[in-house]
Amino acid sequence: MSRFRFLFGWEFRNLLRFPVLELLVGFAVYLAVLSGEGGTSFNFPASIGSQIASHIQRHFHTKVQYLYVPMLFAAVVFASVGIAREIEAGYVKVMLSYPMRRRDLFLAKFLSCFLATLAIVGGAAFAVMFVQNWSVSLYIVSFPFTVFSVLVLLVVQTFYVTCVAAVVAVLSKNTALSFIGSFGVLYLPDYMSGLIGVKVPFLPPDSTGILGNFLLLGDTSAFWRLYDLTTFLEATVVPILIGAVLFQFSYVYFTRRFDVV
Amino acid sequence: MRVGFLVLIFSVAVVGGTIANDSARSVTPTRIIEMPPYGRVSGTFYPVKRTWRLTVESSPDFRGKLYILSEAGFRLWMDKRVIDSLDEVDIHGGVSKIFNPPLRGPYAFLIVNELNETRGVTVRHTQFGWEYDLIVAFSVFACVGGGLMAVGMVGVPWKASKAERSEHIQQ
Repeated sequence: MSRFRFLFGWEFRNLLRFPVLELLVGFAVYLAVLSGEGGTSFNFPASIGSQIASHIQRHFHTKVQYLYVPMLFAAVVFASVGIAREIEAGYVKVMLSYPMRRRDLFLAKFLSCFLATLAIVGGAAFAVMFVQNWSVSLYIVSFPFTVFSVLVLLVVQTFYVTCVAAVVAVLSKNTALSFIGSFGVLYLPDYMSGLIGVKVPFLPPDSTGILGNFLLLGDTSAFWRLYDLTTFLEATVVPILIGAVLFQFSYVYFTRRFDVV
Repeated sequence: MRVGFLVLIFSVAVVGGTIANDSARSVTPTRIIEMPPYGRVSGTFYPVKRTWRLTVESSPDFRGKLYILSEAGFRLWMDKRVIDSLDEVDIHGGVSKIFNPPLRGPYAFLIVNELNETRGVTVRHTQFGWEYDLIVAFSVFACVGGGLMAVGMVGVPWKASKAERSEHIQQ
């Protein structure tokens, strides 16, 4: 356990070295500010407290969906630098020549990618939310469910993005190929669907939008008027399932099939 | 030095994002309200700190009043039906009111129909201008970040030379 902790700490520091952290924070914050919806008309005659809660939730949930691009950018950079580059340069070979488990090494690399991405994007979303609406953000303490629901959205989206980036990095074993490949795999479906005006409900960021609407509206007729059960299941189960399968595949490949020689 | 650079990047990103965001959008939601005789209609609105224009349109013979309320004023109106407004203006057929919110936060408007007849009223909000408070605050933070960075850059060699000096003294 202590060896895993040491590996994890080293990987985490390695990923957040100068100027990767600064550039990713700048990019995430810029897009988080850009996604601000600004003034909102409240529904009358709900109490002002519930109107503020609704405003915070809408603002936050929209932000998570908009932050898909910096999120995938961070995950792709971290996976390429932390996994593909280290395999390509032979650092993994050196590390595995020491008495350490492949499982520990893979989990340390994956977890550091996942947590660093989550920390940067989540931190940017919360910081910008506070900066833009500090007068109402103070009310957020009264609505812990809002924070929880935003964290759920962030975790689901980050898990999917990190799993895809990790599997491409492990299979490609090449920094440039990993960067371009995972960026293409993650961004092209979103870009193409936007181009032809079709929503892909089973892949982020569209699935995050549907899940966010469910967390915002709850199990109400307002939500079921917008989506049917199949779409809801596609949006909630499929990204997690894809992520889990890819994680399992990259884990098995790295620990059992991967040839370092 | 790293903290300074992080503060600088964060501040520059906020300022750049704010300018880009405000240049790209102006929020204009519209509501059509049926006002009963001597009726009073209110609505709440969350403006960011930009100039807020509230336009009320009705028939030419419409007579009434438009009040702008703060959050506390809105609560007072809801609880006790007492009007404590930030600003008020007479409506003769229609009115266009420009309001600069003193702080970010929720505000409300209240329209009073002074006629003994039902009237349809259209209310339109528009926000425009830049969020100067954010731009000014984060420009200051960017300067602070730049200062911290400069101090860090100068401080590291100074620390090194201090260590070297102490080594010389020890020798």
